[in-house]
Order: sequence, then structure tokens, then C-alpha cells
Amino acid sequence: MLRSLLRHRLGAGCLAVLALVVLLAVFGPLLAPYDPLAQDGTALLQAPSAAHLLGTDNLGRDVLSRLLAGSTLSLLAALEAVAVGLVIGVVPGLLSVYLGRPFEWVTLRIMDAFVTLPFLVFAVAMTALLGNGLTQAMLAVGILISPAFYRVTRAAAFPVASAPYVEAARLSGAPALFVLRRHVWPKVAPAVAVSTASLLGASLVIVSSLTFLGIGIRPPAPTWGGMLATNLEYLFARPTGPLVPALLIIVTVGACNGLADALRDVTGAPSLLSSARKGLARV
Amino acid sequence: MSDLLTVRNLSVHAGEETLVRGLDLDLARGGSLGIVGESGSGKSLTCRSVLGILPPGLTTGPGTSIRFDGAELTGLDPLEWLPYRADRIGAVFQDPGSYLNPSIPVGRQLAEVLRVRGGLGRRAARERAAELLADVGLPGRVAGQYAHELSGGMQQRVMIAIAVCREPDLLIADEATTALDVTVQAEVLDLLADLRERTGLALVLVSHDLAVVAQVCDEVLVLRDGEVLERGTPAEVLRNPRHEYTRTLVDAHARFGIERFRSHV
Amino acid sequence: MSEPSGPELLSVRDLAVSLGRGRARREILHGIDLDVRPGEIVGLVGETGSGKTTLARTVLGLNGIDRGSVRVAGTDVGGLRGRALRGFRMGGSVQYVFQDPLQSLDPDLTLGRSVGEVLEVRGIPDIEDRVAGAFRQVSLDPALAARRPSEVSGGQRQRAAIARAMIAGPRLLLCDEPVSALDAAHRISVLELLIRLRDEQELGMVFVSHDLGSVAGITDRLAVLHRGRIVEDGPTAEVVAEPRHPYTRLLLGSAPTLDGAGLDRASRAALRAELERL
Repeated sequence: MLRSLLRHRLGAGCLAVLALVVLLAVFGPLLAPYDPLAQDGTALLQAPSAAHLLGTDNLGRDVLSRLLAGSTLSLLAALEAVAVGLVIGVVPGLLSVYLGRPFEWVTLRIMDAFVTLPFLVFAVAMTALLGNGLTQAMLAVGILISPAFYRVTRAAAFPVASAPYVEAARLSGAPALFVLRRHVWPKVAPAVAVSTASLLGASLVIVSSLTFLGIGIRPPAPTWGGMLATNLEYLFARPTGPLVPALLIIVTVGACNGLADALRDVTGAPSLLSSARKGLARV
Repeated sequence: MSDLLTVRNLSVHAGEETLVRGLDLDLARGGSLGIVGESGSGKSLTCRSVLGILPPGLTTGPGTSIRFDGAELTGLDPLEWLPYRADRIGAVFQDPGSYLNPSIPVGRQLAEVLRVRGGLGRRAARERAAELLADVGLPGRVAGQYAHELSGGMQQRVMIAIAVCREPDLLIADEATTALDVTVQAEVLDLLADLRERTGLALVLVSHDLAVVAQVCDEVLVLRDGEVLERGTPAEVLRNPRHEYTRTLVDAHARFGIERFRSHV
Repeated sequence: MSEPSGPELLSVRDLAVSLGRGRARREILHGIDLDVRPGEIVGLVGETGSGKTTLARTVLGLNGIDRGSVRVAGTDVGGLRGRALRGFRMGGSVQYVFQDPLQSLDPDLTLGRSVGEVLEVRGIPDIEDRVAGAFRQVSLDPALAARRPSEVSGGQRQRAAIARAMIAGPRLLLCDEPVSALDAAHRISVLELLIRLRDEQELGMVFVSHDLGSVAGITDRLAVLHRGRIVEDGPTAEVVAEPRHPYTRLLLGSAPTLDGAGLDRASRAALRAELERL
């Protein structure tokens, strides 16, 4: 799958961009020329210069160092949200087509309930309940995106669960887990991979919006969204300030979505939005 | 009797690949021709060529001639072909359910064809539709029913009613009875024979089952890999199959069919 | 494995089965009796909705039973649940051959993998050798084990599906329209294979088909299923020569044959009218 993805032009490009972003996140803090939290009262809101390649913010902190440190936090947060969503979406999604009606009914209702939760309110409530931290906020985000995983998994697993080859495996006495692993999961995995890529992008946006609002992050710690917010406040003093964090968010999210499209092309799995797009195309 | 359909040197290409090569066939007015072959033999492509509905990407070769009632059909543009396909050549296929609109009662679908192609008024079309449905052996209530409420056999009868409603000269039945139960298949084949008697309709019957074709048609073509292996009357083909493949078809019946338990043959 | 209590491999008595839930629940089989002995091929014929597939699935323990009993090689299948049912299936005494091997073989797995799956489930060693043996048993080149279903012919696919059934060591084989998806030449060779397996292994076989005309020749006995009841059951030659039930007469008279010995239209209409009255 990876090989065909690398041969796909869009896929290879997006993978390269994401690899770069990940490298930034992993090694960024080591490369940072300054301590991202160190304030310098003598150099507030400076324009880019040789000393501060991307300038400084309202507290005199080096923007480049904060961006690099923020990459780690933002990416980790998005990954955590997707991981949580994967676990509480895909597992019940797989089991719902296999364990019979009662389980299916219960999980469907729970997922419906998740869908109805208002996004921000739920995230705020979760952080209020569990404490304001990125982990807690991302737990909330993970729960909120899990129905997407649940649906995609279910839709992909449903036709497989009643396929004659699955029946044949069951008739040979194969236990449920064996059948799921051997026959069902390989058919579901491509669809899940596509959703993972596109939801990773979505989570990044969510992380950025939450941190922009100050949810899930304590002020000194840098994130892309948080930096966008502080930079916006001082827009008049430093009009180019929000540009770099915003660009980073856009490029990363774009790469995630591009990767999702490429994965869809390569695996032939339906994307989250493909049915909606088809509906639109018909209109 | 004059020839209704004359196909000469029909070839169908998909890019470099040749799917049907050099097929000739003649069908007299009111005659019946059976085409036997398995999937990939080119029997459906032959039908589709005559109807001018080859799947996208497939083309007939330059030497191909399809003459219908004296007119050359090859080279016609879709709009010129339409009157032939819509009015003079009817067709039914294997899966009637997918040719019927699921959200319109079948009687109305039939009436619509009569109005649009036949220029009948609303009321006249409805009455004619009822007559036609009765002609194909369907009870009156069927007109108001939806496709999914009908059995496969009844759906195929509706399709036949639609196919013959413009009183065409030729009906092409491409595996039209394949998906049906044996007893229903017999009824539908009876219906086709009956329509031919009443209206002088010519028939091209396509099937994978030699026995079906032999039962109904005056002439049989055996097709394989896009080529005609054998042609003749059913009796000739069954008694003296010249080609190995035809022998296999006959053999399959003789050894594993109910013929095995009957004394003669 | 337990020894069979009687000579029958399959013994179905007064079997009633309902399908569907709630209001849509309907009785599909109304008191079926059917026996299959070792080395016997029983044709189970009937039209769409007659209940033939339901009957086959019930024998496999896939449907609940309202009334009556199903015994396979002495085991009462109707009473099996959960672990016991799985144990019965792992025993492999009854195997199923599906209509379309393109659907009954996982498209992503090699044929060898699919055929060997039963052994993997049972934790049996030397799977590759045994799979090669099973391939040879169904006259399939063991080299094809590395191919996927889409990479071989229809006949080879169905042979692989039969190999998957045979590797489980069945005594009873349920074949649900096993040749109707195949072309004539492959059809003959698969039917020949089934006959050979029956002869070699003393297999009992239920051959489900809607198309009596083209498969009657493989059967020793015919059971005709009509609207959830077995209306005729006897040696094939006798049933073909002297069908007793009007439905059997209609079925035989409707089947397209090369000898043109089918019933004419009027007789079929008369039989249909007679069936309506029943």
C-alpha cells in the first residue's frame, strides 16, 4: 500500500509534507534557537531579523522557537484525539456487525448521542470536569470524532460480515476474533486509513481552535492555535504575526486531506465525504 | 421471404482486443434465431451491436454491416438509431428488475412509452397498457403495482409487454429467462412463441443453454470466443455437432440432464 | 467423534423452521423428512422460495428449529449451541459448497490460504503439505495454491472451494447449486469430480438445485421441495419415469431438454391449475 501511495503524485507530496512536519515536531525543540518560554522585555513584537528569524511576540518570546515547540504539542494533541477516536469508534464498529443485534443497538444509540453533543460545550465541560489539560481536551475531541470512525468501519464491515467466505470460515468453527482478524479487518482497514488521514486533519483544526480559545492549554505553553490567538491580538503592531502559524495549520491539514484522497485512490476505499460528494454531483 | 436482419462481418473491438470477429447472421421476417454461448462468447455484444448500445469504449469494426429491413444501421448517429431501437427492435434482458423504475407503477411505465413513442393520449395509453399486460398473461391488478411487488417472471412479462408495445418487427431476448425458475422459464418461452404466432414477430433468443434455444428457434448459432463455431437447424446441430465444443454442450445434457433417465436420445 | 447411531449420515425428521423476526416471522419448512446414506447423492430440487437453501442451512446449524430433529452422523444438530456447535463444526463431518466460488473464497487470500484455513483453526501442523494433498484430490495443480481466486478459472475456483470442504474430512457434503455459475465444460468436470469423491470417500451428498434438467444425471435420489414440503422422494430414475406429484410433473415437463420430451403447453397449464387447487 505504501509503495503504491508513493507512486501516487498527490500521495507522495502529502506524505513528504507530513514527514517534514513530523520531523519539525520531533526535532524542533532541539533546533529552537531560544527557550520558547523565555521572555525578553527588551525585544517585544519585533519584526523578523537575523537574531529572531520570525520575530518576537508581545512578551518578547522568539516566534520560531515557540512554533517549533508548538508543533510537538499540536501534533501530539491531534494524534491523541485520533487515537482515542479510533479505539472507541473502530472496535465497536467492527463488533457491531458481528456480535448481534443488542450490541449493535446499544452502540448505535451511544454513537448517535455522541453526534448530538455540541462540540465546544462538550470540550469545555470535559476540561472543567477533568481539569484543563491538553490530554483531557483531546479525550473530548476523540469521543466527538469517534462516530465518524464507527460509521466508516461499520459501513465497510457490514457487507463483509455476511459474505459467503465469512460464513464458510464460521462454518469451519473459526472463533469470532479469528474471522474478524483474517477476513473482516483487511477489508475495513483501507476505509479506516482514509478516515484516519482526513480526521487527523480535522483534529488539527479542532486542536487549533480549542487552543485558540484557550481550552486545553495553559497560556505559557506554545501551540499553533494559541500563537495564532496572541498574534491576532497584536495584529496592528505586527501584521505578519499570525501568518506563519496559520500557514502551518493550513499546510498540515491540507496535506492530511490530500493524503486521505490519495489513500482513497490507491485502495479504492470510499472516503468519508465521497457519498456526500456523489449526492452533490448529481444535483 | 425477405430478410429482416442481415449482419455481415460483424466485429467488435475494445481497443486492440477483438471481442467478436467476422460474425454473419441472417434472420427472415418472422423467423427465429438462437444464439448459444457462454459468458465472453460475444453473444450479448452481438445483440448490443444490433441495438446500437455497445458499452462505452467498444466499437464495431470498419467492415461491419448491419442491415435492418433494407436500411444500413452502422454509421447511424444515436439520434438516427433511436427509432429503430425504440420502435422496430424490442429487447429484453436477464435482470428485468433493474430495467424497471422502482418508484413508478409498472402500468404507468408502459403507458408512458405508449404516450411518448406512440403518441397516444393519456387515457388511450392507459387502456392500451392494460390490454398489453393482459396479452402477456398478467392479471389486471399488476398495472398498479411496483416492480418490487412482482416476481421475476412477472417483471420479465412486463418487460416483454414494454418491448413489444410498439409492435416491433424484431425482439431480442438476451438471457431473458436465465434468472427465472424452470417452470417460469417455460411459461415465458411459451409467451414468446405465442407472440410470434400472433404478430409475426421475428426473434433472436440468446442463451447459455443449448436446450432452451433448440426448443424455441428455427436456426441456431453456436458462439465461442467471438466466433461462430456452428450453425444450422437445432436438429442438425444436436444430431451432428461438428465442433468439439458443441459436442461438449450436447454431452453435458446427455450425461447429467434428465435425458439420462429417458430411454430414447 | 461419536459413531453414527444409524446407517443414515443425515436424518431429518418432521423438521419445521421459521425465519424472520417479529411480525415478519414465517414458517418456511413445514415438517420435512429426509435421509441421506453414505455414498448417496440426493438431489434437492425446488424453485426460488421453496425452502431448499433454508433446509441446507438448518443442517449446518445456522437456523433455529421449531419442531422436529436434524441428525448429522448421529449428532443432533438442532440441540447444539455456542461451544458445542463450534465443536461440531470443527469436527467437519458436514461441509458446505457454495454456489459462487468468487464469493465463497476471500478475494484477498490465496487459494492455499483459504483451503488451509480449516486446519489453521484446528491448530493442525504441516498445513502446506495437507493443502497440496487436498489440491491433488480435486485434480488441481498444487502450484495454484499461491494464486488468488480472481487469477484462476471458474472451474478451478470451484475445485478449490471443494478442496476446502474436503480438507475438513467431511462425511456429508451439502452442495448448493455448485455448478450453476460455471460454463458447460467446467460444469461437466466439477460434476465428474463430485461423483469421483463420492465413490472414493463414500461421501453422502445433498445436491441443491433449481435446475433439475441439467443436473438430475448426477443424483441417485431426488427429493422435490415445493412450498416448504417434500412432495416427492425416490430414486431419480423412478421419479423421472413416473412422477407422482403434479409439481414434479410440472418441473420435469418444464425443464428444457435436448430430446424435446417436455410437456406441451396445455398439459403444463392443467398441472398448474391442479397445483393451485392443492
